[in-house]
Amino acid sequence: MRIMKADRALPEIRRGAPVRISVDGNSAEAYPGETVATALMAMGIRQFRKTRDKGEPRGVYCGMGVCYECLVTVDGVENVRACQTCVRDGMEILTGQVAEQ
Amino acid sequence: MKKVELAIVGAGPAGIHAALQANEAGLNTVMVDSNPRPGGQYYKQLPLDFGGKPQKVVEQEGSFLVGLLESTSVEIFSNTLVWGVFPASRGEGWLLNLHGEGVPKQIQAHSLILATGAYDTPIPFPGWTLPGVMTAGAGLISVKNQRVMPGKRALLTGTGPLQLALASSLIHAGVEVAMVLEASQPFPKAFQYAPVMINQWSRILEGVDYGFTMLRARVPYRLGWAVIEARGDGQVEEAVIARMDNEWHPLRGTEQVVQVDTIFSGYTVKPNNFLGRMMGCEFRPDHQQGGLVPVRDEWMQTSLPGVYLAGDAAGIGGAELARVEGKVAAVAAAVRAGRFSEKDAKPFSRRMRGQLRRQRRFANLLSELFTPQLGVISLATDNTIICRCEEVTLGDIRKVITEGARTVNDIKVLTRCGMGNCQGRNCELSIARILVQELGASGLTFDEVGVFRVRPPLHPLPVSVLADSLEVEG
Amino acid sequence: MTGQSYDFIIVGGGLAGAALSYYLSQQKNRVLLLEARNLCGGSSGACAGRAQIFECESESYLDVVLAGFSKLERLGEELGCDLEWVTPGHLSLIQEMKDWETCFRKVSWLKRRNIPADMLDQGQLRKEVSILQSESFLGAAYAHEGHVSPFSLCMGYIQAARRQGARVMAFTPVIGFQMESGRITGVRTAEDVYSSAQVVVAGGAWSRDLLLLAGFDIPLRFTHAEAMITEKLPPVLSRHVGMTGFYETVHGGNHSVTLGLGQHPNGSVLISNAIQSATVIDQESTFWGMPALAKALKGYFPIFGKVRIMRTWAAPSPFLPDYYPAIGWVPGVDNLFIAAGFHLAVPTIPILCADIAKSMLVGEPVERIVPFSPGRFVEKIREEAE
Repeated sequence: MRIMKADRALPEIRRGAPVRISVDGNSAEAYPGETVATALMAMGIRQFRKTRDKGEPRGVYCGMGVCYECLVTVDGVENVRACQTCVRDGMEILTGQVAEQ
Repeated sequence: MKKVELAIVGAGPAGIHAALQANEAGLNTVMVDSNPRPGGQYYKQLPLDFGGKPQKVVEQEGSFLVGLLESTSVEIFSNTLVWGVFPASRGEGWLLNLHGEGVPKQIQAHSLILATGAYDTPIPFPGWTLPGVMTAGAGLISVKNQRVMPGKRALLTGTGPLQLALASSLIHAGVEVAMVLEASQPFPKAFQYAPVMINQWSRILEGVDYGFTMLRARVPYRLGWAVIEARGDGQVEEAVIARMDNEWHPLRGTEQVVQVDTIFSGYTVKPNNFLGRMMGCEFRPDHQQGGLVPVRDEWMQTSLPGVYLAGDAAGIGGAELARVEGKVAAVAAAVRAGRFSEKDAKPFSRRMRGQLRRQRRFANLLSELFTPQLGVISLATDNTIICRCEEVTLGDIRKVITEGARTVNDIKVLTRCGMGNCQGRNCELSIARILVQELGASGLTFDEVGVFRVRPPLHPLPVSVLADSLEVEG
Repeated sequence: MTGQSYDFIIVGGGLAGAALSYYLSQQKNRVLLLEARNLCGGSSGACAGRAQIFECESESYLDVVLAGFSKLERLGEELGCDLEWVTPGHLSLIQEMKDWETCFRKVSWLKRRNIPADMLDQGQLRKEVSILQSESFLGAAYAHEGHVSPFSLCMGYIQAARRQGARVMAFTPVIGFQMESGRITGVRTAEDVYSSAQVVVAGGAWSRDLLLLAGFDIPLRFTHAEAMITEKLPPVLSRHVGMTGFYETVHGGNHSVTLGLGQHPNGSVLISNAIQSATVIDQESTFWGMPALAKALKGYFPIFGKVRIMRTWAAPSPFLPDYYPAIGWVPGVDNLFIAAGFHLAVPTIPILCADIAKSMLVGEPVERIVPFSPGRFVEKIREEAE
């Protein structure tokens, strides 16, 4: 869920016009400036992939590009860090992929 | 090839102040940063597309500094990674291999300031890999920068004042904070540091503000407690918490279960020193400082001439210390470039020495009170994943220790820990702690277990990026 | 002298030193292994783990390699560890007619020795290695080949040696030798001096410097070799693949790439070698090496363009002038044994190091190692004369 309220601790922002993205084949909206991780979290998706050997679910851990857990496939390129990638209009995102496959 | 007098890697507090100082000294400077905008974590700027105005003091400060930086003649390469650094020929400095859109593939810099900051210390415990377990840093980024709720009901576990900042932000965002757990017992120890706090008014006020927010929201704050397990089917559904002893071992029999969908693990931060290590700067072991500290002189110069390390990457010290260190490093680079003589720089150096001392005292206070103890590794059980990338458990590691592994590197080559995507950033310290836990009784100390050898590329990169980097020669 | 006394001191903790520590500590001998840095470093830690057959040049050396093969098949069980032993085989890619002829002769020779080997034409090559840009190749020579994890092998030997009572000290450089009347009476480290009936230098590329400490010199040279490894991939390569002229190029030019690649059971592909001549030992990747290797890889195997490189590394690759190892007592010293410059190290070390142990216990070189005697090069340094 996106945070819509604003107060002295969370100063007001104005999200721009939304862009269209697709997540696992489903159409969705996101806002310029958001990362793919944010867009997925806003949709309630927390499981971004399953691990290669044990098939365990993984999602965002460090949020800053260090841990490589938030890997998704973006526009056909695998193993992309969702937290380091900003959404773009027409972006196609696939989750649930095994990393490095 | 593009040649500059100074390249600064990292655009957080240390990097920004180094850049501003270098600009003042007239140094031809380039700044390389992997984020979309300067600011690092501490001064992380709202995305430009979010059209917002900073309100809180730190944010205003950050916005002002970034604006100032962007108005100088320092060339900034954002969204750019330095993946390899090599000595240039004839002692002319360093060749940096860059990966980013619209930036040169290589630049040559006479001096280098590494200001690569820090990242949340990964602390393994059962269930920590479940979606819904995140670092405190990830929580702050979600809420403050990305304006998305990371969950509905959260529990914070870890140590240090950053947790209070996160709790406060979460409360403002509308996330229900079930409780905040502080693993250490900072009192009465903290009282002996009261004199150090006298100069830290802004921080005291910050802390008071967070405290009030938590009080108003009636969020319990427990000292000497931690999450010992995250449970759930495919994501976090509940947390098991327990009391901790002074060495951070959980006390059996004190467990409680709390229903939450998000757990924030905030066990302070550790230096992001991979770039300095990759270049071959000399480091020495220091558990309290997050594993390694660089050997540096009073001008922030490392064991490599013309290579300076400033800010949290050299040891956790906070933004104010980073500011001073960045400036000192830049002046040193200016002296090296012949802009001033060492004599000219002496008054500056004297002033900075006092500031460095003060800020280091405060940094030491925080690390005395809030650094995770070696014993924190006892949270992990045989089934706990230690190397997240390669899915290696504590049991796997214990097995190779019984088969003769004695160093971090032995464990790496026998289990593949550290050979995955994160290149060991997130398991190295845990492995060191495990070795000490298992072999400490026979005399093995933290200083002896070694570290991973950091090699280029600094992040995994496609073959074509490496191949194409050769097009520009000397 | 405060250090203890041993039957054997081994200087060097790579594959050779590790194997020696195991074979020498059998039958209750007191063994001390001193390694300057981390165990399984140097070329041992950098190698591809290949148990090569195709690169053999003589009948007798082939005998050693084949004996090594049989041994490696059972060695994991003997040491109580998993060596990850597999036999993917090797394809030597041929671009020139003269190389085709050389390979054909070699393949015929191997076939006569009942070793699986064959020639492949371009069409067959394309089928075997579908990811190769095969237009520029005439074909390939196939030969049986094995692969181990060099780390598992090294650590397996060391752990078994420890179980037999050997003492292993890593991060303990040898800084000097004490000599009296043509015998080594002490091995000096920073902290201690150790005495031993016999000392064996198995220090890989560092062996020359170590021998110099004792007053002897051997013409052990080394190249600087770089390699890299990819992320885990689905199976794309069932055999190890290399360009012909591997060893010639290694020791020929100044800097060159001789491409070799092999896929591990876990999916990652190890790519070697970017080679440069070197006079100083270092383990640093170079400005030229990684990009050159990446470029060569991408040129012949275009699908690798998007594949991510996870790590690169570099190590010295030692060799003697005739490319065979130096194994034997150093002339002029009663109790100093050298074992360095191993050629086709992985399959030969398990055999030759067992031979070395036997020789050192008996006091006479076992027949198989006689041809490698260092007497063929060693010159005593005339320090007094200078």
